[in-house]
This record gives sequence, C-alpha cells and structure tokens, in this order.
Amino acid sequence: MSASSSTPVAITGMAWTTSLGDDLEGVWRRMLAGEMGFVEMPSEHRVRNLRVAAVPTSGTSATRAHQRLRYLASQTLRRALRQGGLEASSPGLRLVLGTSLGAYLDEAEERTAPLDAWAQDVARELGASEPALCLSTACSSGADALLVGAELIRAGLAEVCVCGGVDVITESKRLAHSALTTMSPGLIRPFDQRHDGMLLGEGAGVLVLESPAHAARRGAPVLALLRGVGSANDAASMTSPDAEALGARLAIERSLADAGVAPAEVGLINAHGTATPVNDRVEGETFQAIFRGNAPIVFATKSNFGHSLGATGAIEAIAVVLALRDGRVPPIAGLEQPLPGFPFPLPVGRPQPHQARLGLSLTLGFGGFDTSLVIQAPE
Amino acid sequence: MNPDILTVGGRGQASGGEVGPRLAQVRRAVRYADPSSWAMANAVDAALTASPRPLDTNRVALVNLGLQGPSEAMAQVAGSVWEGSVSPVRFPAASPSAAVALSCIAWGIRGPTLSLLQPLRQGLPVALALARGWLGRGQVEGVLLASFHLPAGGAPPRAACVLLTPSPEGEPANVEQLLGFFSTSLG
Repeated sequence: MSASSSTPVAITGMAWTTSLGDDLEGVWRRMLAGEMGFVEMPSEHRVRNLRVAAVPTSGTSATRAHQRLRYLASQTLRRALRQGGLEASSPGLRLVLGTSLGAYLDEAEERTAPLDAWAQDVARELGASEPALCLSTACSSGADALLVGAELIRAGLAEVCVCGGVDVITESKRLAHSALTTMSPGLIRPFDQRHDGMLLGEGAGVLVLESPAHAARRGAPVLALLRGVGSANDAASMTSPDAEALGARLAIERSLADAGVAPAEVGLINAHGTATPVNDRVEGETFQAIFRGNAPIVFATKSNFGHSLGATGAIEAIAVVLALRDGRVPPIAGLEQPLPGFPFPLPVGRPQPHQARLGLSLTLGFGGFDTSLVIQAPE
Repeated sequence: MNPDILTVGGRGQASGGEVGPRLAQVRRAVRYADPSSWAMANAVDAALTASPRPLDTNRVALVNLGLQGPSEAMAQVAGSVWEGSVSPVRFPAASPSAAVALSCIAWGIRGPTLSLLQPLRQGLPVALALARGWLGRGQVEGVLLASFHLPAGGAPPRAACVLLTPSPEGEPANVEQLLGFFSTSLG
C-alpha cells in the first residue's frame, strides 16, 4: 500500500431487496440470465413511462411511501445482519443509512419531521444500540453510506458498520423524471445505440463492514474487501453530469489512491449506467481517461433493477462483490447494439467471464455527488 | 501534514439569502434554490475567504450537518405533485443535499461532499473523523463543515461554516468548540 492508501475494510454480510426479488443468489441468477424487473404501475398523472422496477409489498402493512421506505430498510438490514452473524444490538455496531428523497416530497409528516426520522425508526425497530447515522447525497447515497462506514471503522469510531441505501418509487419522482426527460419512453438500454434514458426503480442494498481483524476475531467469513473509497463533486449542475467529468475522474482517482492500486489492476467496472445519452458519453470518456491501456469489462445493473436512486450505490456494490466471486459479470439487460467506439468490453447477451480480482463501482448523483468504491475479491 | 492537528482556518456566518455578484450569476442557472441553500453558500464563501492562504477548491471537502432540509423548495414541489406536474428546475432544489450542491457550484468545490442528516452533537465527531481521514491521506487541503437552521415563524434562515485545515498554527478544532460556534451562530 502507498503512503496515502488506507486499511481495507472487510465485507462480511450483504443483502438486497430488488424488483427481481430479495434472495441474494436468486436475484444474482436472474441478473446472469439478463432479466429485467419492470412492471406497469398506474398513475393518476401523465408520466413519460408507466414502467417501473417496483418491489411488491402487497400483503404487508407497508402501503404508504414512508412505511415502504422503513419496511425495505428493516427487512434488508435483518437479512444482512443475519448473513453477517450479527445483531443490531451488538456493542460497537453502527447503522449508516442513506436515501435520496425517500418520502420527503410526497408525505408532509416525513418532510416536517427531522429528516433522519425514518432511519431512527428503523434503528429502534431493529433494537440497535446506537442511533443510526443518516445521510443523503441524491443517487450516491447508498455508495456514500459505505464510504462513511469505512471511514468510521478506520478511525476507530465503530467496530462494525452496517451500511446501505434505500429508496421508494413515489409520484413526485415519476413526475420529476418525466419532466426532466431523464426517463426513457421505452426500455432502458445502457450503452446501447438506442439509449434514451432510465426507468425508475426502488429497493435497498445493505453491506456489513468491519475491520479484517474484527472479522477474524469472531471467525466471520470475508466475502470481499472494500479496498478504497473516493468521492468528489462536479460543481457544475443540479441535474446534469459535468460535461468534462472532472468530478467523476477525481472520485475514481481518489478511490484508487485510497486503495493503493493502479488503474491497470482494475478488471471490471460497474458503471452508473443510467442510459441517458449524456451519462453514457460522460462515463465512457471518464473510464477512457483513467483506464486507457487496459480493458476492464464495464457492466451496469439499472436495466435489471431500474434506477433505485438512493439505493443504487449499495445494490451495485453487492453486484460487484458477486461478480468478483463468480468470475463473471451479468449481461447488460437491454443492450443489443453497443455504442460504436465505446472503449471497453460490454457484456452483451450472456454473462462474460473474467479473471479480475479488483472491481470498481461508480455512482453519480444529482447535485454532482460522485462516489467510487474499489472492491477486492477475498484472498 | 498532520491531521491530528486540526485547526479552524476560517469561519463564516450568514443570515437570509442575499446574493452577491458571484451568487447572482449562479442564480441565473440555479433559479429556485431554497433560501437555506443561499444562506449556506454565503457562509461557505465567508469561511473560505477567511482562510489565511488560498485553497485549491478542487481539493476542499464540504460536509453539511443538520436535520432540516430546504423546506420552502420541498413544500413547493410537494404542492405541485397534486397538480400532476413537477418542475424539473425546482425538483433538484428540494433535495436534502441541495445546499451542498449549490455551494459546490458557486465556489467550485470538488472535494468529497456529504449531507449528514444528524444532530450537530452526534454528527460532529463523524465529520471530524472524515476530515482527519481525507486530510491525512492528502486527498484534500481543507474541509468545510456547515450547518443551517430554519427558525420557526418564517424568520430568515441562518447558516454557519468552519474551514478545517491541518495547520499547526491556529485554534485546535474539537467537538465542543465547534458545537459552541454553531450553536451561537445558528441561534
């Protein structure tokens, strides 16, 4: 490790709740099969596309948006804790939870309460020994929860951080993305010649982080290592990615420096992959600027799960862990005609094998929030 | 650089959302930012301006702490949902992280940026740990910690910001001292 690099953090548990299900392996199999998890959700209003990647919660008491937010978070946290062999009440365990807009714009009581109320409700429900640490950085929230958790462990402020992102589809988001024209009128096709935007999704992703020493002391299997984290801001626009992609480049460079690895060591990249023409161009140019000279496979998950906003960074980190474990990346669902001149291999139609030991996940959020995570397969 | 020696390199306070020449330019592009976001942008500017040496804002981080959001912008968007139309310009201004985004656009801040939805007493130790990590690894040369408060009854928002640097000269930064500054500044 270089002088500026940091101690890796172990990932010892993970869980997700997605439109393709909530079983870790079952959802992964469906991703490998290239499945898309979209349904038509009626709206009282004119939206650009009725298709959304919704998580069914019928049969539960979680009907309103604020209830669904808490339900998705608590159910996913329980499964991640169970896989990690931990209890929320364990001393020294911190919950670090992020969302973008949750139910703030759709339910007045959520907006006028302290903005962390949803996270504290979840912490209480799970019997956590400390209040949750709550954050919001738009679509980077899930990835930033992991960044913050890693830093807390490195700083000795926590033994274990259970980190994740959660978000729900609401009418405000459907209307806003319709107006922004970031929403595709058809299908989401990242890096495809016919790309014309994203489709909304919802869900949650949670990862258990702890120091390798702590994991070893309790005999916890290490699923992967979070080797490096880095973030930056575009400082350019409230909605569009910076055309020069300076923020994204800085985030990636900082994460690589934090990990103490060279760009050539990264064998796969999980792109933000919203399938808007500007995002796909900016990401391609960003990767070209940094990874020129080697050929990491670039994959994307938003055509499986939709754009789950505050959850996406955590969900995609899990996808990277599974891709490293299995030695293959899932095909990009909906991708049939890759953009001409895209500088890196894209998995089309079938899973693509690889021998990478290091993967990178990039998340870009409204307001310029760029976060990059470097993940390593376990020894 | 010794991040164990975190000192306050600058302080800023602002009340209301008055905009100077630079923010007036930004306002043309970001029309509907919440008053709290403008107040924070002013406080951030004041903290940066108070720095004894110029900083490369590509290497300055910004962490906002607090439990309040851009309530006016949020209410406007929420009200429009029932009418079946959400303004694409107002929507991003209604995010809990909008104040950070506006300050970054205004002042070219490209370091790590976060909006921690935490009470100051709980959030400051976390923010200081983040600052020490970023500064210690040389990712940044300064870290801005900011917070805003929306008083009850519609009074103008108040914002405050401190710039943390690892300079051995200056007032050492710690939770109690920062808490005192924010409490006094935000009322």
